[in-house]
Amino acid sequence: MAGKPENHRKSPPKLTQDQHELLVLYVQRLEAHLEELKAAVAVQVEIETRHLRKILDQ
Amino acid sequence: MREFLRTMFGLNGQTGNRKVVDSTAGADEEKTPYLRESEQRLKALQELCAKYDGTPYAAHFKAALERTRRIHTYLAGRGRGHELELFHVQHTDHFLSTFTAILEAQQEPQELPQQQEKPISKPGVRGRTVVFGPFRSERKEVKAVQNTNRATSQRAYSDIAETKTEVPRLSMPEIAINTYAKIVYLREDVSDGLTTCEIGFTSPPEEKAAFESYVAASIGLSDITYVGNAMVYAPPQGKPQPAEMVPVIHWHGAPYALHLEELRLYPVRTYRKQW
Repeated sequence: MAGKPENHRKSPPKLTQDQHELLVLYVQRLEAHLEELKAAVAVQVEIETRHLRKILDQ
Repeated sequence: MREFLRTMFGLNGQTGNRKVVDSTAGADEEKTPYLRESEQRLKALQELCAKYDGTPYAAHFKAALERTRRIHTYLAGRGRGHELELFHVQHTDHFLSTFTAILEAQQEPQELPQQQEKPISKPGVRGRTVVFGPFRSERKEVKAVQNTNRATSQRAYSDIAETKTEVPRLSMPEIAINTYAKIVYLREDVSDGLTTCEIGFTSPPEEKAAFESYVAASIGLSDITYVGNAMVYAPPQGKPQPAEMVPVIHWHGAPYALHLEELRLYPVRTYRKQW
C-alpha cells in the first residue's frame, strides 16, 4: 500500500487492501441504491400515467 | 393534474405503500422513532468519517457519508420511514460496525498517543456501540426481555419473602480519587523478568496506557481507561483488613475499583456524573 500519510499528532488509521476495496464497493453500492430508488419512482410514475391515460381514453 | 391523480387513486382505494411522486406525507406519529434512530446513525457515520479524516481514504468516507445522506434525505423527505430504517439496518449499521472495529483493532497496539484524549471522551460508550448497537434500546424485543426478567425477579422475591431469606443488597460505594498517591504493580517484561511500575493520577499518559494494557491483559477486558487511585476497604474475607489504595478503572460507562492481588472488580461510584 503506497501513499500512507506521515504520522501527525496521532497515527492515522490505516486500511488493508481488502478493507479499502470494501470501502470503495460500499460507496458504489450506495450509489446503485440511490439509482434504484429513483428508478422505482420513475416506473411508478410511468404506470400511473398509463393507467390514467387508459381511463381518459375510455 | 396531480390533484386529480390523487383523487382518482384515493377514490379507487389504493393507499398503503403506493406513493405518488412528490407526495409529502406528514411525519406520522409512528414513524418518528425510525427517523430519530436513523438520524442518530447518520451522526455516528459522520463521527466515524471524521476519525478517518486526513487519511488517503477520507475522500471515500466522505463519498459514503454524502451518498448515505442523500438517500436519507430522499426517503425521509417522502415520509418513507420504514424504508429508511431498512436501508440503515442493511447498510449503514454494517458499515459502521465494520469500520469502527477496524479502527479499534488498530488503536489497541498503539494506544500511547491515543490515550491522551480518550479518557475524557467516553471510551466505554464507544465500545458498546459495537457490542450492542446503540439503536436498539427502545425496541419491542428489548422491552419484552426486561419485562420477563422483572417478572422473574418478582416471582423469586415473593418466594423468598415466604421463606424469610435475606436478599443480599449490592452496593456501589462512592469513592474519592486520590490525586497524588502512587501504587506500584509488577508486570512481566519480554524476558520473563518482573518490572516494578508505578501508576497514579498524575502519571504521564504513557504510564497510564501501560497500566491499561497490563490490566486489559490480566483480566481480559478491552476498552478500559485508568481513572485514578482511591482508598477503599476491600470486602472482608475472614479477618478484617485495613483500607488500601487501589486503582480505579473505567469500563463500558462505569467505574470499577480493581483489587490488584485478586484481580477482582468492584463497581463504585465517583462524584463525577458524566464521563
